[in-house]
Amino acid sequence: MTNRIMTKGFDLHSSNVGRVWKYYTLSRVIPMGMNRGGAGFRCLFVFGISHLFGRPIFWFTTRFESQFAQLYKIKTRLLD
Amino acid sequence: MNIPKHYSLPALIRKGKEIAQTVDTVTFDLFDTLLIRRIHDPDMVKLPVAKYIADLAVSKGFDWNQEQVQHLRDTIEAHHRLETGKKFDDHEACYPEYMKEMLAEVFGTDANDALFDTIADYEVAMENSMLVPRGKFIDWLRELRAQGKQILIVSDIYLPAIYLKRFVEHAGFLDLVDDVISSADSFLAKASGNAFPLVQERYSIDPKRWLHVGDNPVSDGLRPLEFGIQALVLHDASEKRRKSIMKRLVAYGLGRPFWRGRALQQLMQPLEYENVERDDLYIEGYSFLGPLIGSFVQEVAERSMKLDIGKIFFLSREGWTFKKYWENSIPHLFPGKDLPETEYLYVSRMALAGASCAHKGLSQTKADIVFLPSGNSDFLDVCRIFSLDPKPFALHLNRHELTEKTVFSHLHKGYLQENVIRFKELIADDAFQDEVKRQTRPANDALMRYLEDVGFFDHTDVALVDIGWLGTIQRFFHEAISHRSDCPACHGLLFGVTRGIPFPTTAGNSIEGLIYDKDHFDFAASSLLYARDLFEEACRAPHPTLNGYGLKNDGGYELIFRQVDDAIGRAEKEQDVNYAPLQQGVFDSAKSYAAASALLGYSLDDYKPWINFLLVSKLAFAKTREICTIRHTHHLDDFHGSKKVANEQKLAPNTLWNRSAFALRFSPLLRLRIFLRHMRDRLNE
Repeated sequence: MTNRIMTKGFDLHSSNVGRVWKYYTLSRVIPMGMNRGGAGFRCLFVFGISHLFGRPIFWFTTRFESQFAQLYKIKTRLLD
Repeated sequence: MNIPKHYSLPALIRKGKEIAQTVDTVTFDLFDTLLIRRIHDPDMVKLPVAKYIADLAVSKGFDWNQEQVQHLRDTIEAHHRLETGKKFDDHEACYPEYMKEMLAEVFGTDANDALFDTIADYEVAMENSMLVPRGKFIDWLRELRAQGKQILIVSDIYLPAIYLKRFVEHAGFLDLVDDVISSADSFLAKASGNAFPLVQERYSIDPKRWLHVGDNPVSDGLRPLEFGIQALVLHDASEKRRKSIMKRLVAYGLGRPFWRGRALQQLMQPLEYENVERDDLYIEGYSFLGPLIGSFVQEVAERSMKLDIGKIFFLSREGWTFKKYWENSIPHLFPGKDLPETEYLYVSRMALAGASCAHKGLSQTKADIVFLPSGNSDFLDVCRIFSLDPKPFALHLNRHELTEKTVFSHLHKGYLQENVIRFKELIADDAFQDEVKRQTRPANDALMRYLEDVGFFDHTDVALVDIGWLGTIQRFFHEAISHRSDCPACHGLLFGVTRGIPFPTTAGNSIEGLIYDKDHFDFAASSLLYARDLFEEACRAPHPTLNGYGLKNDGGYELIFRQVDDAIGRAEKEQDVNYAPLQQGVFDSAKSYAAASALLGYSLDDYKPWINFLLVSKLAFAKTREICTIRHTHHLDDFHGSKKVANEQKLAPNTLWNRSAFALRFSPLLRLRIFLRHMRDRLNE
């Protein structure tokens, strides 16, 4: 059987983000060994979104980049 | 002014092809247009260069580190840009000018053109390892070329055009372009728009019949439009997504070491037309075994430099893969360091067992090692492993009421405890030991000649690199050489160490498992024990195993290899063919590993959490399809005798990797049950 090393979502075919999720979930229940802090829920969430649903998100944000930049400026001004 | 932006490459090329019919010249931006970088931040490529310069400076006796060199480079470059800004509209810098100034500051009078060229070559090599041509653009370039269009590359960058041409040449499309123009040569950049009149004048181009393509809305969009050139700007959503993932991996890796190994693998990933369909075994070699072996070999290099090792000996047969990986990665990873010499050493447990008895005889521990595998049971097995002729031992055996076929293994029928006691008495018998030494002496002499030939005794410290497990090879090897006064200190750097039999560690002879060592309780890494044979077969050299060292009549030596025309030899060849894509994947990953690891600046300690994840998820929680694809069909172990045990089925380790596809698919919670049992076994060890 053949495949590509990198998936269309820029993920590793052989150790994709889903697999990291499973490992992370299991490591919550069973001691899996030395992971030096592990993957972290937030990081995994961001990568899950980026790899699996990144295409429509980036399609949208790239087209409205300037508007997003304006929003970001406002947010920074308000929070700072 | 409305800048024509396109949000995907096919959309831009479609529009470009329409416009191209009305123009004679098409100019392209280079970076992020024709070439993309694997890394999100181009400045990260400068970091390994700074490390290289710092290493060179230290080797010449100057006191510099990577951070200081990088800071100096940034300061001088910024100063050059400021000076240029006083005379030109653009704040450009020219690489050779500011780098030569920086080198003069670091190396003083030792700085010269040759040194600059060496460093520039390394920087170009690092850039090349990170640059990938965009496949669809190159296809379009070919079409434009065929239509007879003039094609130019115009870039705003600190590198002069001669370096850009090297990138284009490496990417394989220099023949498709007429010329490459860099702002570093003229300080007239696209950013101010001054590059366009320069190009128009130099190549006599009519702006109306000129199309420019790039990724920057100002430099590649607004400025050419102001000059009357048609322009297309690429705002590639897909590229932004890829870079965003890379950026997050690097950033998250700073706080969470788990992602460092993942960032390494992301950098190693093939892009564009490199990412073609591959055999599943190739993918496992590239994405699973490659990073494991790469980080192991990198750690071997770092330890060797720390221990001041004179020469590294990669032990056959798994050392063949490690050495090949070393050659393709380590010189690129440590360009400024004095690396130890390397040599592939032909050894095997069978070949060394006999030679190890020539001076110290057959010890009880060595005899015990014989009866670890269930296939060995009697004195004939001892003779087979230690290359002894059993006939001259008949008298000695008789004296202790033993025969050649007396059973010494508790796994076999006919085993009696008193026979083991008699066997111990036999080992303590001086006459028996004298016969052992007499028979094994020629093999030891031949081994000494071989080792002298490869310069083994020319160093005070040597590293022995092997796949590992019990460390039997190094145990036998050191016993064979320890009688010599010039015997070097042997540092065994092994992939995994199980220490089933305690290793006789001394200052002059030690072993350490770098990926897994039973002595450093690393539970996740112990998943390696699920499929040790897989690693042995994946790394095994394509030559037969060594049976012994022969002493020739003229005093020379010969290496005696196992025959290859019997059933086992044919099975090994079949296994070689089966694993060829896997090994190819491993070797192809070496250069990518070196480039990625050099750029990230990490080592095994940083990658370990991700490596542990790989080991657990790929070995202990492997998918059925993966096990069926990866597991080997044949594995030769001459050490293991041919005697059958009545309850062999029960003795065979019942691991995940020897289960049927049916059991793997349908046995409930199989992986979890085996993993918990594995955990219990490790805790009870």
